[in-house]
Amino acid sequence: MRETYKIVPVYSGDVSGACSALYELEGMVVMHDPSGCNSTYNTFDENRWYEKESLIFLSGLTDTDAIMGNDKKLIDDILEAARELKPKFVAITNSPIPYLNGTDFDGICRKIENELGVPAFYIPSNGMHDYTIGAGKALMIAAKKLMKDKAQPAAGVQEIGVQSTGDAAAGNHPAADAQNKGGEAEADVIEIEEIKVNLVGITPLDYSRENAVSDIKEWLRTSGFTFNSSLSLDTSYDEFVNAPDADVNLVLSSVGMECAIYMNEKYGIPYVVGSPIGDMAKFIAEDIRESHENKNNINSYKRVAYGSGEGLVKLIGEPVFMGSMAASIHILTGRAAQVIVPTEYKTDLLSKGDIAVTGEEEIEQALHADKDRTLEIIGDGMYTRVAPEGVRFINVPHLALSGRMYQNNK
Amino acid sequence: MLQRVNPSESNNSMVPVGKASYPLPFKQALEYCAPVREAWNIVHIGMLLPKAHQIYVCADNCMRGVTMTAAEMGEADRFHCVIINERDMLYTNLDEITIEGVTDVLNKLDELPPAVLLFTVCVHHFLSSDIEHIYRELESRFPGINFIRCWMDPVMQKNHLFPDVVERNAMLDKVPLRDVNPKQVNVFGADIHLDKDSELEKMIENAGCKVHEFPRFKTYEDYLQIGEGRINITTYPAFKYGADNYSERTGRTNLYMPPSFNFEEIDEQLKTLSDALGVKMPDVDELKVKCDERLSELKKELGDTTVFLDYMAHTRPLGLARMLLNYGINVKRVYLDAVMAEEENDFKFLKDNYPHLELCATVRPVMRVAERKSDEKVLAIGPKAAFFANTEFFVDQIECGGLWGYTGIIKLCDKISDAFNNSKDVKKAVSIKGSGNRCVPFE
Repeated sequence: MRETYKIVPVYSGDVSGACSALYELEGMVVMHDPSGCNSTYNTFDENRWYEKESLIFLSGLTDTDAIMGNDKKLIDDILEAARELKPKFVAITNSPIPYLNGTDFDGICRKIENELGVPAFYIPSNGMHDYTIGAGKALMIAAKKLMKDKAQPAAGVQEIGVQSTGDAAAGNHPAADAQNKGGEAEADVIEIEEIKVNLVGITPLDYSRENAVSDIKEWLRTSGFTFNSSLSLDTSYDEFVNAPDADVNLVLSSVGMECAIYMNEKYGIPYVVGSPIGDMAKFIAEDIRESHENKNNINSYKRVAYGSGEGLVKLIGEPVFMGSMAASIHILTGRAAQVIVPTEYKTDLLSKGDIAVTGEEEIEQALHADKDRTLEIIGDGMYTRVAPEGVRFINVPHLALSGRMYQNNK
Repeated sequence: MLQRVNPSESNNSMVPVGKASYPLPFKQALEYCAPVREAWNIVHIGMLLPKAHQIYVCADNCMRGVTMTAAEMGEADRFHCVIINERDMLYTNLDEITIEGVTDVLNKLDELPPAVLLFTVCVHHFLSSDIEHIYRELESRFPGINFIRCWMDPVMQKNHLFPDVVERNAMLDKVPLRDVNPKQVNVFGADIHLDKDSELEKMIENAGCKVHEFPRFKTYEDYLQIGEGRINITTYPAFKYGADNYSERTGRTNLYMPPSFNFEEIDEQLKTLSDALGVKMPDVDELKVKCDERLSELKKELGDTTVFLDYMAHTRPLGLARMLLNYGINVKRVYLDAVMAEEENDFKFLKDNYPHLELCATVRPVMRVAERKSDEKVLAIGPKAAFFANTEFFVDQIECGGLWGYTGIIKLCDKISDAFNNSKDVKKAVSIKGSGNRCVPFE
């Protein structure tokens, strides 16, 4: 049965995903769920909980309130806490029982918004989907509710400037450092357009490494781009609100897709899908330029035909991160790669030869298929439990699956 | 930026006991969850039953916490799940998904376990699942398996029973009654084993008997042997419901003897035990003198040091505060969200005699931004008190630490003294889930 799991854990749920995506935006997020359900999120799915405060609470739903439809308690409790703590917005997530009851969350949010005078919105969730769905919807809905109108000029080039990497005084070309590591730097200075880039769909659930955002920011800088906003790790409310100032959205995980599509439709900001892993980084940089110039949306890793080549490397996990890694491996080694995608949001994110799977049985079958040709498997260490014996397994810890298990050996 | 605040009466997160209401000193509203993980949950408790497997039937988000608990314990091979989705709840028969899912999991195992703790959940209640039908069918398909009927239904816990209370009851409910072993005394205690130096253990030994309790079980047969116990002694409040039901079913005595800080209550407990076991009372006068001396020593050592304590360290936090205050120890604050019925007398005593003692909530929303700095040294008893005080001087204890009786009080004094003199890493300590269990991320 697809629904049964003998030994592999399930991914973080949609409610955890929504909380993770909104964590740093200075709002208040309320899970409409019974007492105790909060600890799942903040123990296993949230590595910021101890050090960085965020106003994420549980409603403490009871059976009688659920049966009697006592939404007033939820509203009053939110108003009380919000008046004390003064969040910049209120977001509410749902769980199975209020979902079954058909609770009118949009109505509840309207009431709260009218009373408080700050945006209040509902993240459609019910505890029955994984984090890619919850976080994706949260980012997209927060974008709709919170982002400002785009500054003029509305789209395209913001200004013309001179960019340099490394020593600004030396006036090096951005590409020169990469091409002349330690060697003579080219002295030419060329005029390039400033391209402001948002990082979209970055949360600790997919990017739990401590310096993930700063490393990507540094890569943007050395590639000649200007960082605009992170949606939404190492960020702030103001940064989020100002995201429409960007020229291109870089979608770093499937979590960012719905938001990027919305921003494309609303603000005309094109997006590039891919994570700057290894040799993919320079391709993504080229794609950002192309996307900016042509106003087209690009999936960078799908442009690399990584499905063909010698041998087979299997990668299992979130499609954007693993697709980018697959492409990078193919570029570097010429080996064929295949991505097995157990996470839920995958629309247009699979390359030819990639496989979408649901449940432990299908995961196991996919990992065991073509065993003789498989050189190695790359994925979260939890999958070693269903991986074929005799095939090298490389553990790439994924917080959304293994939680705290491998966070010390990333 | 979030503004720090101090817990106060005005923000309804702190109240002097003199003004506090019983049994709920604080309004129940939105809840914050502090990053203090040491409490045991239903997965940890179920793993005390050797060789048993656990199967949960619920939605993704609800499944996540329990599946990761098992993984962190290194017990993933004894944990399985059946995921339910919208289609299962709205358009198909949840009972059949439950039955077929559990069957599928069990058929995939190399070897069937002797027992399965099956956890149905909130939606089974709300969709009026036919639980009897589910178990009847499963028991007919797997006649060799002892299905233990558990619930993960936190939506019920404020008005009915907590899931762990239901689980403990279910674990006892499936124990078969056997002939009495006159040398066995069952102790239904905390999840941490009873202190072997306690008067309770010593008196049982003096009666020529052995303590038989879950934390010491090594085999499934150990579990079945509960049915041979001569007397049952319950020391942990969360076990009382199950132990009373077990006692009623089996007709065997259940003595409720929770760890206490009230010398009279301890004397009564020892007398009851002495009568039930037919052994001599220990020299309580000598024990009392030792206890009194140790508490007086502790007062000298701590001086006026501020002490915070919490409900996680001990099931009688107000009783502990009362005893320490009576010895002049400067207990300023107790962290709790509700007062247990068996602490009503201590609550009243403190209200009358130490009205300025602060009761501080742990789940009120404002506690998320509570000021956690102090200009003075704070000694904490319990992990939540340590977290909120942000002090490295703390007693890292949950569920009474297995301590009991006068010996327990003396040993707690030793722990407090050690905590006063030796610092610990509070973040590391409180992050371990299910204190005393294996917790892989912190190995």
